[in-house]
Amino acid sequence: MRINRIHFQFFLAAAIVMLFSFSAPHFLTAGNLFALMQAFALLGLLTLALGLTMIAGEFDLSVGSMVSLAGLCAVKLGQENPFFGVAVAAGLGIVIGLANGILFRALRISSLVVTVGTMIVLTGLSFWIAGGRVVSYENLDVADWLEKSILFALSPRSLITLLVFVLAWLFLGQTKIGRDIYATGSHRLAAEAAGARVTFTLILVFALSGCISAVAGSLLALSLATASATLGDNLMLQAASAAILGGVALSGGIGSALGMALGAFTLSALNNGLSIMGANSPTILLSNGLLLLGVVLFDSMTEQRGKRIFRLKQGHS
Amino acid sequence: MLHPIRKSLRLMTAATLLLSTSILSPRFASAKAEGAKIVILTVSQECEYCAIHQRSFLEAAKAAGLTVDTKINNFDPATQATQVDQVIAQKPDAIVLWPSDASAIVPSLRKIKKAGIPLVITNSMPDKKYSEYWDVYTGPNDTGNGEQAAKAMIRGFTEKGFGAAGTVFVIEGVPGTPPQIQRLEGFKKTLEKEAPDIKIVGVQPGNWDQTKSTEAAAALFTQHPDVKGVYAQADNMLAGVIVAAQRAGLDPSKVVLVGSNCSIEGVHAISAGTQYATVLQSPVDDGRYAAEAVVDLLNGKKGDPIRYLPNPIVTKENLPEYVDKIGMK
Repeated sequence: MRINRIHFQFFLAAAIVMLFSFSAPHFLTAGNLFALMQAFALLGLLTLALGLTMIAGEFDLSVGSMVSLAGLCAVKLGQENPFFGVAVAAGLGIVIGLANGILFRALRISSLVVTVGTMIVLTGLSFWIAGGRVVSYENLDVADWLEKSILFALSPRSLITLLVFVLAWLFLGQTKIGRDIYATGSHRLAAEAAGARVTFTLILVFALSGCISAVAGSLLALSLATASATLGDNLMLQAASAAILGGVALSGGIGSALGMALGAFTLSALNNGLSIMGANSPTILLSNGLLLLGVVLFDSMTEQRGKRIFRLKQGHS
Repeated sequence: MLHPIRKSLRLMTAATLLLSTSILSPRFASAKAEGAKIVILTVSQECEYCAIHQRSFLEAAKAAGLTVDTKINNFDPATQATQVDQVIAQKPDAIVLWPSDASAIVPSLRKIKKAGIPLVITNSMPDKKYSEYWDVYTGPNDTGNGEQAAKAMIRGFTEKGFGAAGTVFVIEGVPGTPPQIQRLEGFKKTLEKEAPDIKIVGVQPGNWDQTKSTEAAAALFTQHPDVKGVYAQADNMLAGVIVAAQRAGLDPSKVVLVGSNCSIEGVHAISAGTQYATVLQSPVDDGRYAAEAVVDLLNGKKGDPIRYLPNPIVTKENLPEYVDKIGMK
C-alpha cells in the first residue's frame, strides 16, 4: 500500500510555484514561464529517457553523452535540412540504444557497466567529430522557430516534449509492452515465468532511451545553433534527480510518465525561481540536493509505513 | 499678504516648474543611468578571474547608481539560453552578458535585439559577423595579446644576448577556444614579421592547466634542449613550464619565458626572476570597462562599439605599476 505519490508530486510542484510567485518578482509572467518551459523541454526528455530504463530495473548512463553526439550529428548533417539532421540523430540514438540493450543482455552483465562503456565511447566519438571545436549551425531561422512562443508559454520545442510525454503515458499505461516494462522491473523472474518477453522488453527500452536522448540533444543543439562534445555534460545527474523526484524507484517497477513530467517540471521551476532571485551555482546545487534528499526521505518513510501495514494485515489474516 | 493656501500653491507650481526644467535640461539628461535596472549574465563566481571581474563590475555599476541583478550559469550554454529568456521577461533597462559559449549565444543575442534591450558583451566576443546584435563589446583583444607576447619575446632575446635568432615553443590553452586560436595567431604573425629567425619548433596544449602544462613542456624540453624561449598563453601554465625547465636542469632565468594575463603566478615568478615577462589582461579593467560601457549606453552616449582592454608588456621593471590591476586585495 503506497500513499498516492502523484498527489504528493502535484503538491510539491504547486508549493514551489507558490513560493516563488510570492518571493520572486516576474516569476509568474508569461515570459518567465516560457523560460521555465524551455528548461523543461530539455530536462523532461532526458528524465523520460533515463526513467524508462529505471522503471525496467536498469540504468542508462549514456544519456548525457548521447545528447552531445546527437547534437553534433544534427548540426553537421542538418545544415541543408534540419529534419534530416534530427532524423539521422534519432536513428543513431536507436542504434546505440539497441547496442546497449543487446550487449548487456548477451553478456549477462549490469547495464551500468555496459552504459559506462558506451558513455566513454560516445564522448570519444563526439570529440573526434568536433575536432575539439565548437560547431556552429549557420541557419539561425531554425533556432528562432524552435524557440518561438506559439502557445502562451509554449514553444515548438516544449510542445514536442509534452507530446512525447503523452505518447509515453499511453505506451506505459495502455499497452501490453508497457505492462511488461513494469513487470520486468519489479519481478524479472516472475515476469519471465508469466510469459513476458523480458529480453525484447529490455532491448526496446534502451532503444527508446537512446532515441529520446538523441532527439533532446539535436533539438538543443539546433536551438543554440551550436554543437560541441561537452553539450550534454552535467545533464545526466539532473535527469536522474528529476526521475527520482518524479517517483521512479531505482529498484525498478515503479514510476509513471506523469510523475516524471512533474519531477522535471519541479526541478526546472526550482532552478528558474532561484535564478530570478540571483542565487549562485552552489546555492542552486545545494537546493537541488536538499529537495532530492527530502523526497527520498518521504519515499522511504511511506514505504516503511506501507510495509508495516502489509505485515499487520498478514498477521491478522 | 498672500493667503497661505495660495502661497503654497505658488510654491508648488514653482517647484514643479523647476523640477520639470531640471529633468528636461541637457545637463540632467545625461544622468539617465542613475537608478536604472540592469542584469549581468555571467559565467561563474568560483573562478578567480570571474570573481574579480564581477566585483569590479559591481563597484563601478553601483558608483553610477545602477541596480544590478546577477545570473550565473556555471559555463553552461543551455542554462544561459534559458536565463536570457528569463531576463527578457524581466524587461531590464540594459543587459551585460559574458557568453559561456561565444557561438551558442548567438540565437539568444537575436532575441535580445528583437526585444530592443541595449546589450553589452563582456570578455568573449562572438563572431564579428553577428555584431549587429549587440551594442558594445568590452574585453580582451586576444590577437593583440599574442602580438604583445611576441614583442616581449623579441625584447627578451635581445636582453638575454641571443640576438634575434633561436628556437621557441608554445604551450597553448584548450584547443579550439578563441583565446588559444587568436593568441597563437597574433604571436606567430608578429614573430614572422619582426623576427623571422626566431622559429617556433613546437606547440602543445596545456589546457589552461598547470600540471598539464608541466607535462607538455617536459616533453618539448626533451625534444628541443637548445630552446631559447617559451610562450605560455597563461601565467599559470607558464608556472608549469618553469617546473618542467627546472626538472630538465635548465635555469629558467637564462631563457626567455613569456606568459599572459599577469595573474598572481606571473607576478610571483616575475618578482623571483624566473619569468621574463607577461601581457596584462586585468579582470579589474575587464569588469570596469563593461560597467562603463553600459552606463554610456543608458546615457545615450554612442562611443566606440569595440573597447579593448589595455595590454601592456609587464616585466620586472614596470611590475609595481600593475599590482593593483590583478585584483589581489
